Amino acid sequence: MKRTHIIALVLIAAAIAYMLVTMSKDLTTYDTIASARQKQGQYIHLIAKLDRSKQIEYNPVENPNYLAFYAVDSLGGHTKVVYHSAKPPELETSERIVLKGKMNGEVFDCKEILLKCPSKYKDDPAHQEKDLEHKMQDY
Amino acid sequence: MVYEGEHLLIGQMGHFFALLSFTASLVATFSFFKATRASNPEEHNSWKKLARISFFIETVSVIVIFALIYTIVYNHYFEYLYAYKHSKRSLPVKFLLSCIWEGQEGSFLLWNFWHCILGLIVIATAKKWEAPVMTLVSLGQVFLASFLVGIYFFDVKIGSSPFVLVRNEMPFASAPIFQDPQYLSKYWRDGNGLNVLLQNYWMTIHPPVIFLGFASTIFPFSFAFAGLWKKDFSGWIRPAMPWALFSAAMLGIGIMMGAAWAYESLTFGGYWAWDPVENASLVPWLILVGGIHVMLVNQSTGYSSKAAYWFLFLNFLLLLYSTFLTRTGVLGDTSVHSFTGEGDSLFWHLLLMMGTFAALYIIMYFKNQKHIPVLKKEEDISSREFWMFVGALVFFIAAAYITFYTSLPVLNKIFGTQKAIGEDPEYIYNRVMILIAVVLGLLTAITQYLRYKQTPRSFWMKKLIVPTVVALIISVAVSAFGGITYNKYGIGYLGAIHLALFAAVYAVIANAAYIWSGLKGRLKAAGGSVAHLGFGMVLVAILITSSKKEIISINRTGIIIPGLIDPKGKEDSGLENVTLIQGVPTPMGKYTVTYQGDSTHPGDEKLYFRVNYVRKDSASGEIKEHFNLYPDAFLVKGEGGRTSLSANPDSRHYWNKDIFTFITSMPDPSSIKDTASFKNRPVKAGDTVFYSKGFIVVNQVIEANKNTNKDLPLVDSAWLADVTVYSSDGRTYKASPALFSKDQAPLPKLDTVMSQSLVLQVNKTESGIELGVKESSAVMKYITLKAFQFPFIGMLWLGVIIMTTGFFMSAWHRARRVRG
Repeated sequence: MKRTHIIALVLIAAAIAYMLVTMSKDLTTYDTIASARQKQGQYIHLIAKLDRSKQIEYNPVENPNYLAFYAVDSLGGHTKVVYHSAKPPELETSERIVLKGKMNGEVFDCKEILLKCPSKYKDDPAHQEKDLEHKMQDY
Repeated sequence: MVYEGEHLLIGQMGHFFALLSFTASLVATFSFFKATRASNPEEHNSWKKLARISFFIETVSVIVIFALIYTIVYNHYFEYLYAYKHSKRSLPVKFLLSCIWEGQEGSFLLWNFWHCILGLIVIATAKKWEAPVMTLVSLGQVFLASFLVGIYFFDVKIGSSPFVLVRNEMPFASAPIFQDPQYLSKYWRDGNGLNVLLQNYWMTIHPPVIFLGFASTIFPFSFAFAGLWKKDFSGWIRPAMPWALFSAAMLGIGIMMGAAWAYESLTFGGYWAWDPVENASLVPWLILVGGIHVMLVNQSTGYSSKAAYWFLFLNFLLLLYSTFLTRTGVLGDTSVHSFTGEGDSLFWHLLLMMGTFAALYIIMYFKNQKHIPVLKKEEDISSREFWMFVGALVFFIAAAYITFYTSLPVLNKIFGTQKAIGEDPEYIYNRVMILIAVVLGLLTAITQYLRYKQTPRSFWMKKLIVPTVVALIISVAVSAFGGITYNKYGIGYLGAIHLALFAAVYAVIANAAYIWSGLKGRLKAAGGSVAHLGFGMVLVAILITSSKKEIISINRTGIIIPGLIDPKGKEDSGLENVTLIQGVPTPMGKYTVTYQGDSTHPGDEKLYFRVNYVRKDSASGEIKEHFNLYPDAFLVKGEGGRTSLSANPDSRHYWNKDIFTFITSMPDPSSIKDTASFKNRPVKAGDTVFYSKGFIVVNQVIEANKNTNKDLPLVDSAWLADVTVYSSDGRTYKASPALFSKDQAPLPKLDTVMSQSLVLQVNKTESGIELGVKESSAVMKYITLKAFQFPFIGMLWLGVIIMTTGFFMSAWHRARRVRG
């Protein structure tokens, strides 16, 4: 075997070994609110929705770095979420949210929020039809 | 039914030319294929002629399609879904091109357009390589053209046409308004508009550049394929080299324009976030740069003959894969800005494209593998080729690592798992990339000083000693005095940063020196060194900007969140937003910051916030610097009349840093309702009036009228109360509400104390005046913002420009050698 081949193999083997070793630490899972409750203190991703029946608590004048709201998931899980940063502007209009953080007792301590918003035309035919009806009524 | 006011001819022409471009590219592929296979020159030439004509027809079709789409968007023909989806009347003309890029069809069209232009260059210059190379390029065209045809083939929709009418598409087709022949003039008068994030000048120019980069990757790939096909296993590299260099230049600058856009208009607070969409475009570049080095090795020494094929193959395949990741929606929840996909049809369409090219290439490779010349003798460890190959390999490993984590959603799909990247994605990437940077920096610095085949020790020792010492001095100085103390991840990582800093500085110095000492300043041949120098600068800038990025808007309320550690390794409040109340100076880092107001400009949908920064000398109180920043935001009307905010940052540029600010929150203007009312009390000078957060002292009451005061401008009489507000937190404010009267009509002049939510007014009574006090949260205007300091960000952009220049110099130099 040539020297370059040996170096190639060693480097690639090292990379794979490194990834295998670190993988368990680096990877986390998508969880439901119920399964997240079982994994107290573990960093996970929650896929949920904003609970619109409850108030969103955010008062930037008092504290711009405290946001609290409630989230529900498709399996009926329900949790309070606390996020120590500014409220993402589209939170109210979001249709799905990915919450990254840890379950801390009954409260989900969120480090990062990803919002999936219905774009105006693409995702939601029902909403679009409503929009069309409005258009007609406007005239 | 005949609909009024529609412009159907354009759409019909569009459909026609989309089909024509598809058909022409099929004919071109077949003819170039036949021309390649033809054994006698006459047959070859006649096929080639047909192929060229078809290719030319295709080029014209693509340009016509482009012109038609532009016509639709420019003239606001909202009967077309494309115009309706991506544009609206109020959009400035400069963003109309962005509307075309926003849609998937427009992006593929752009890609196709660059294919055509670059293909014409191949036809004009490639001589004997034309036919085999263009066979593959035309096959690529077949796929790209098919993305735009939008026809059904046995119930399977192929591509999506940009020329469909709104009234024929679901869910619109079922809506009753399209039963009205006059729907266009009655209901359908405006479009949805362009995503506000894309309303930025970078978004007009970034897509054409990055797609030129995308389109160019098929060319080196096709040359490699042609080399196998024509069994000219080393001859292809020379003509392919300028293409590979050009491609790397365009991809590189395209990626960094995207980064500049992110820096200027997105609010994740930086130019790079390891977002899957960014990663997907970086990976092909890494592979291509590795590939260029392997090609050079092969061209100069005959080593790495097989590796060159694999690098170019992977480059093209990963480029298609990146499109697959970003456009089919497969990234789903993992990316902030993955484009909404066309769904299943595009998913399979792109897989088919990748599969076809992969199968063709792999079959061709293994058919010819045993003929590929391989040098049996080992590379000498002191040779340039040995270390270049190692460098290429490191690029490959970097690409593989990034691809793995970016592909998690794909792996989840394949294996049915639920894995996601962990708590600190940046660190997961950075801790590996920093090691990669160390190795690449060192290799970039040293390898040029080595000779092919073998380097006498004395030779490189002598030449390298000066740059090494200089680099050591500079980087040690930076390490010692630069204040790089990023120990969020411990001392090991901090050490790696300093090591990488040395390697990067070394790369800059050694290559600058090489241009002078190794090449004796012959700039024509210096493309490689210039590119390396730029690359070194990029590394230095990335290291400094990332490790010394500072959040100035950190909230010093003393609240500590357990477990959060700041970049300096101390416990961190983690609170990065500061709320500024209009008119109230607020300390923020070294600055005192005041939100002074907002403004709009005609013809611009954005709201601009004026934020004043002042830095005073702490001892003398003398103003050291002061400036205004104008971060802005789109106020997007959302559901139920709610307004949400889409903010763009603003930066103050210094030669050595940027002060970077953006709005994270503001009161929803539609939700503010003023329900409070004035409480009026008769007052005279010396009186005190209480309110919920303190009290107001009336200093004096001034009464004036035309007869007593000749200077009174424009009004007949005036009553003014000069008051001081003492709030319970110890602050005092001056205010002077007044009442004027002119021609018997009262003209109240209210005064507000913003931070106390106070509105003051003066009323005239029989006996004197009344002071009206209203406490209303509606008067309080505030913004919440984040501010960062980015040191040496300018060096990043400069490094990219120098690197790209180096690529172009090299491409030009080599292209001339191929022709000459």
